[in-house]
Amino acid sequence: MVYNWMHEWAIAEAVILEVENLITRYPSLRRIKVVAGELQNIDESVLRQYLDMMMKEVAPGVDYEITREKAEFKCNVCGYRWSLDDVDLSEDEREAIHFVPEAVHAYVKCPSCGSRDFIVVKGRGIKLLYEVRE
Amino acid sequence: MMLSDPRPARISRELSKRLTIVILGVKGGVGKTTIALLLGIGLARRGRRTLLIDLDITDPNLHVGLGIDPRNIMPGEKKGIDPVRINGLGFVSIAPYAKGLPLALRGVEAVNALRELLSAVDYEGYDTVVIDTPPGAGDVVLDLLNVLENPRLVVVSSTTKFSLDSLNRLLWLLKEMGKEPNAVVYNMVRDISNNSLKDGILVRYDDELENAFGNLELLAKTNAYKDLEKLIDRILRMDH
Ligand SMILES: [Zn+2]
Repeated sequence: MVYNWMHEWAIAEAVILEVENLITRYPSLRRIKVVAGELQNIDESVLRQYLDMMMKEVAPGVDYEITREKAEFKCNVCGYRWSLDDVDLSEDEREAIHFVPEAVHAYVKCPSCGSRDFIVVKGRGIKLLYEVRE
Repeated sequence: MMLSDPRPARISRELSKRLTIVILGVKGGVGKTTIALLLGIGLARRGRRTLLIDLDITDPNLHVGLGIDPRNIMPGEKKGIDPVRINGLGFVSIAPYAKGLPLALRGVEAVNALRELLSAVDYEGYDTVVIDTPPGAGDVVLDLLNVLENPRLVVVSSTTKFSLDSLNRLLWLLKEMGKEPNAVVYNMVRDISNNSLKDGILVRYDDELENAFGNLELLAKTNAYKDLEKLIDRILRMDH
């Protein structure tokens, strides 16, 4: 197999390592859902390729899916909420945020009051949700 | 469904395989970043394949010591973030991603950035990792100490009354956590014959450092570096 070197490999590897931890703790692990935040914008095909290869090895019989989550921001100063569609970012800025989503604080200010003090409410990066059989 | 963060799993696996040294500063201005830099240089000169990681997330400046403008570098990608190479040292920091702009991060977000950086690095080719941290024992430092399994800890203090007061509390906290430091470095010491600090490693106050930043050869010729060789010896002995 020919791989494209991408930092998504490290992310996918972390997911599989955590699935290994979970299945040790919960042998009746039933399914997992990998939630990919819009802000990080990872290449889903790399993640899928890695999971397809590894899940049957480390967690046979455990269902898995990958879903996306829209990003949402909330200003800590004025309470305004907004989404990534409301923001203008250059190619370089998107690239930086792809590696470290918190870099968004360098490039984005609250559209309402101009503050940099905001939080990413959702859609940041990778989250792992899991369900254990009763 | 239950929620879990996959990143600590990779951080702990990758870093427990390597000699990982965390530099803690009792407060700002004690020269923690300088000690991290000199230690990294020293370990590399002794043949360790050393990676320097700046985890002072909201106020990184290790790149200044290395003589890099973060606006002009961008790490590549292999099986993770491929560290920037500078004179034989690997380097990872949030600075290239923020391009020198201010980063206003609340605690949770600083912790997220820390976990993201540490979990996404391709550590292949490195056997030693030196981590610089934010001053004190805030969210980032506490999370780091939680996630890492067996780091070597170096606490940096100056000899001012304020610093020594903070040092007592930090040592107390670390002891309670079962993470006693492997060394205490007293930095910027004016009176090297000071006997009250005999348990620590004393690093002289050094005017030359400021001019040597950005030049790793020159940094290795400073008095501060020479004083720190004791720490380098101690850390290398610990790895055997
Ligand atoms: Zn606002």
